[in-house]
Amino acid sequence: MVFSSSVFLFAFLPLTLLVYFLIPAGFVMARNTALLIASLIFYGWGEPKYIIVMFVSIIANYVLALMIDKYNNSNNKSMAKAMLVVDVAVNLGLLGFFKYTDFLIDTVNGITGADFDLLEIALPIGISFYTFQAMSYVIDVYRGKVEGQKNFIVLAAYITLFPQLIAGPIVRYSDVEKQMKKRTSDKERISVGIRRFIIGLSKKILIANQMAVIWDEIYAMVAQGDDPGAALCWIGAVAFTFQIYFDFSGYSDMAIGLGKILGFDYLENFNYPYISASITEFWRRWHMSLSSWFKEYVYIPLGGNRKGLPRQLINIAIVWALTGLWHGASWNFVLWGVYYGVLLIAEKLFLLNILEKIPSKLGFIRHIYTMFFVILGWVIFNITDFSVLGNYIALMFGAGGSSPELTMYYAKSAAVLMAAAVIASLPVAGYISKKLDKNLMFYTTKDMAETFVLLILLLMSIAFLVSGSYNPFLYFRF
Amino acid sequence: MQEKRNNRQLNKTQSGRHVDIFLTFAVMIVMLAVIIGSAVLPDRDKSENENRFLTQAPSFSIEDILSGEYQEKLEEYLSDQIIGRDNWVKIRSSVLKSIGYNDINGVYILDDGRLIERKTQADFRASRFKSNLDQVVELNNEVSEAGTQVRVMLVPTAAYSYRNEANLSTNYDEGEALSLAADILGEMYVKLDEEFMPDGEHKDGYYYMTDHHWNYDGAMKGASIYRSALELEEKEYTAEELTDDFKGTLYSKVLLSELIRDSICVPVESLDTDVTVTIDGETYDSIYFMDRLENKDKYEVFFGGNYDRVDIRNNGTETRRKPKLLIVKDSYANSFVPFILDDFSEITMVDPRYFRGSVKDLALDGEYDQVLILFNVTDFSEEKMTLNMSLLS
Repeated sequence: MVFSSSVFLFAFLPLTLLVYFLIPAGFVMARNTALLIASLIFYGWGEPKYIIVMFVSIIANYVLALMIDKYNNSNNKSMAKAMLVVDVAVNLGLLGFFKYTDFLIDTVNGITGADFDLLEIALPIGISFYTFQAMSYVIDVYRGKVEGQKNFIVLAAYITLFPQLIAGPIVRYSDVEKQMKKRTSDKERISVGIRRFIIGLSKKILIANQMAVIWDEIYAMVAQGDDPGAALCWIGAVAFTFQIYFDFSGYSDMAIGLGKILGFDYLENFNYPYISASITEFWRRWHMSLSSWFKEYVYIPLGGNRKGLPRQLINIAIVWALTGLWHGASWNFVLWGVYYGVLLIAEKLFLLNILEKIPSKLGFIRHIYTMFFVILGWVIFNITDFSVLGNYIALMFGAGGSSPELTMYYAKSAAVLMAAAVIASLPVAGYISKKLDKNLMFYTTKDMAETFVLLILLLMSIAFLVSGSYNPFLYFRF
Repeated sequence: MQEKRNNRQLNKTQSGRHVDIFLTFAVMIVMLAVIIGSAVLPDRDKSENENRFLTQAPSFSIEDILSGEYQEKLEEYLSDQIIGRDNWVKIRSSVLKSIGYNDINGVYILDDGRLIERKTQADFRASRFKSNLDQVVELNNEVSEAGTQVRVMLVPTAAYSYRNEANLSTNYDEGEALSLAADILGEMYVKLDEEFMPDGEHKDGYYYMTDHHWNYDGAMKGASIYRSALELEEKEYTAEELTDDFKGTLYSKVLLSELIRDSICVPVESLDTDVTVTIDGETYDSIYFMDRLENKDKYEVFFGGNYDRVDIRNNGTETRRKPKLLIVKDSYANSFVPFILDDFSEITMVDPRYFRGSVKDLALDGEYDQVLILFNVTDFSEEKMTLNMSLLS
């Protein structure tokens, strides 16, 4: 199930919240059980048979973590380590089988000229997210950072929790451990959660889905061999740049909002990534729960920056190839990961130094530099077919002609939408809100206005959801 | 200073509380209104505007749940049966129009309110268009020896006719498609290409404002060109308005209330023609189904819609010696036939979207003098046609 569907908004969510809040806050285990059942329904909605995969994952992680805990307590380090290896193998095995088998077969076929059949298995939704969550739990148990969870329902509820199940953020067990045992939903939290959810829903439905239409049409022209001209190719690339940000961060907003309503505090996943002044900064602001996961569980264990520069550069390269591959089972994602690996290494070696020498008056140059590579990165990310990808990039840089009429058409249609997207990508709303907060006179008026705007956004989102059959969901590939 | 800040903080939380509760209740009321309203209102069978049946409550079965069919149906059901469905669509259209969108749901909105169907290069199925043209050439090879003449009229879309006036630049290159047709079809091709450009005399144009079909003037012009291609005499017609409240298929896609309504006119001469129309074994004494004027899709007044086959016999005394015509067509022919009704003794219309028999056999066995292939250019590219063999058996 996805958040931006009628079933979720008009049936699943109201019913789940009704049941959840009918259970008194003191009965947290009953609430956990309700959440677990709801989450399994949510998860199995599209492919009921994959509930089995989910159970395999939960049981394996539950049992292995407790065994690791036991060996840790009896100081049997080697057995604890062995169990950890088994656990990581199970998680990566599930992920690998469902997500990467066909990719592997396809690659082998391509290299050797063999003709193995593809399995063509559907990807269980959210598998990239919940296997990473589960691994963070077991590794943290191994490291002694958290205790093994003996209550099966609590662990199962943590792994399946529907708000962040299918598109993140990747919530670490250590961050919600306490709240699994005790949590409250007061009026303020609920209203903050609702606010956040509506903002996320609008980002997804009102901006991302409309950007998707623009990108799809321009991409289709290039894919079928037409030449829409450089300007239009850039408009398409920018549209996708906004689409993926508003889709993904909108989803995170909805997850964080729902978490708040249910009494959980999730960490932020995005921090205005498009205002970054370097690629390094961009990756500190984009999909933060993934970057920090890789940092914590791959980069640092590999030695991070403690083993000298050459080793650090290799570590960066490894992390970024894996990050690329995590995003999708296709070579363009690997290329995209390597692309960022190279940029980050270059910044580490010399580019950041150069960028810092730019006087602050000309600071916009750093933003242009960053967004240039980010936009180009999204083109690589989004086009699986290498010949179309090469073609698209060539057209962006003037390999084709120009088509002013066509460009004007899209420019006119997209102008207001793009302007809205730019404003929503900047911390403007927060800034204005803070300014107004300083003036008590405006305080109540501001909040009333905000409430009014949120209601309008909610109604518009419902209108677009109900009438637009165009509601593609980007993250099934992940 | 510190105290002042604390004071302010306190005030904020207090007034914040009211707003918190207000937002929570407001959102709950909106959501509950939609949910309860949709649940209480009886489910609708059909959406007139969308011209389709709406999804009904799916029945619950383990089998359907495991296959995921129940879940899919439930999503469709909730979207289809939501309270005020058309109004939600209107809200979306108004928002998109107000922020400067040139097109909504695949329809261009021109400044004067004219609606034109949007078909991009990606929508246009060039290879199917070509293979359908090849089918026509083959049909001609088969029937021309028996003395049957094949003629083809491809009606340009409104997007092509208005291309110089309006911003329709995302549309596919229809001119290219038309010249390909002219090349392949040779003397069979009755050229309409540039004939439907809006001009001084017909500034209202040749297409309905809210529908993709050609209007009275368009169909009349098409008929006049066809007649001169067959070297038949020119005729004059008088228009009779059947309704001025026609909201066509394009209107349904956009649903903006400020849009203009069309009138449907027919040649008054055709109202009096003595005909026998046979559709699905039933006979009628008129080509018009006046009861359809009560419905949303008033274009169905012509023949009541589209069928696999319609036979029209002209019972007029002078028509016995007139030729027989077979039209292979889409819905554009429905409003075209009134203008040529008196030129033929019998007219058979066959819609290859529904007709399973062989058009070639029909043309030969029925001893038709003329075969007319009459399609809108886009329609002609959409469905794969099989004209020379039967799909039955």
